[in-house]
Amino acid sequence: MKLNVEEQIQRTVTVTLEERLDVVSAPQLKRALEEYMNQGVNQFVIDLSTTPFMDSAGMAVLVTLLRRCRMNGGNVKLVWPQHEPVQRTLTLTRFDRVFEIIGRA
Amino acid sequence: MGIVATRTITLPTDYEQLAELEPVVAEILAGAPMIEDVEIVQYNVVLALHELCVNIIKHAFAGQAGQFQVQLALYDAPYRLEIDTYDSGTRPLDLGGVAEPNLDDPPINGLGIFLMRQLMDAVTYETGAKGNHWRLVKQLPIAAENGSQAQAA
Repeated sequence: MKLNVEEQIQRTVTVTLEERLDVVSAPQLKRALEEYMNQGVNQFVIDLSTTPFMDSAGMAVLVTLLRRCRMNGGNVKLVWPQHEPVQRTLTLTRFDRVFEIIGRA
Repeated sequence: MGIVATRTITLPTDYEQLAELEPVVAEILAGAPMIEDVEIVQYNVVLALHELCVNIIKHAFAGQAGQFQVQLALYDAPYRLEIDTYDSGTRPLDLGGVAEPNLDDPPINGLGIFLMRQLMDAVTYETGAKGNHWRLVKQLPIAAENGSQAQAA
């Protein structure tokens, strides 16, 4: 029997944010993500499970990443935060509907 | 009705200094008895005030060095926190005309104003000869001794 096997290995980058994601740290995160995107990565997992604070500047980085990845056939998943106020911010802005969520009870 | 506690801080137009807001808000809220979900209330007030300060630095001062004042006042009967900011930024910062974002397709800009409006009970702005004045008001849900809410959240 002749088998035609094709295997594709997809690169996924996971970034864990253990400190504040805000107007101060967002540019640093944006630069790091852009470096991976320039390498062709379009699958990301952003781990917010221990993120203590997130503002609109941080959220803008996540939206920008999502748009660019989906434009290139990729996706961005968010690991659901443990910190309840951060959960509420994601719910309020409907990020929990726009992004694929991992680990939400 | 009266003032229970006040705090005033002066902040430079430096984003890194905004982390100072959290302990100040925590300290003044500690003057109110048994706030329901105090961790969430405190976080929401800090986030709303943070977003306002970012906009003052970014838009009112537009990159110019300067400083602005944040006044916090805790009132009772009913318990509420009123926050006033005064800045002499050269550009008026009336965000009243900013449209509600389409959250099904989240925007890159405008989420900060949306959060501010959602997290506080009142957001008002006025401008005059002395500059820009913003007021944020948060009603504080106080737990009764029997565990039920004495005031609406």
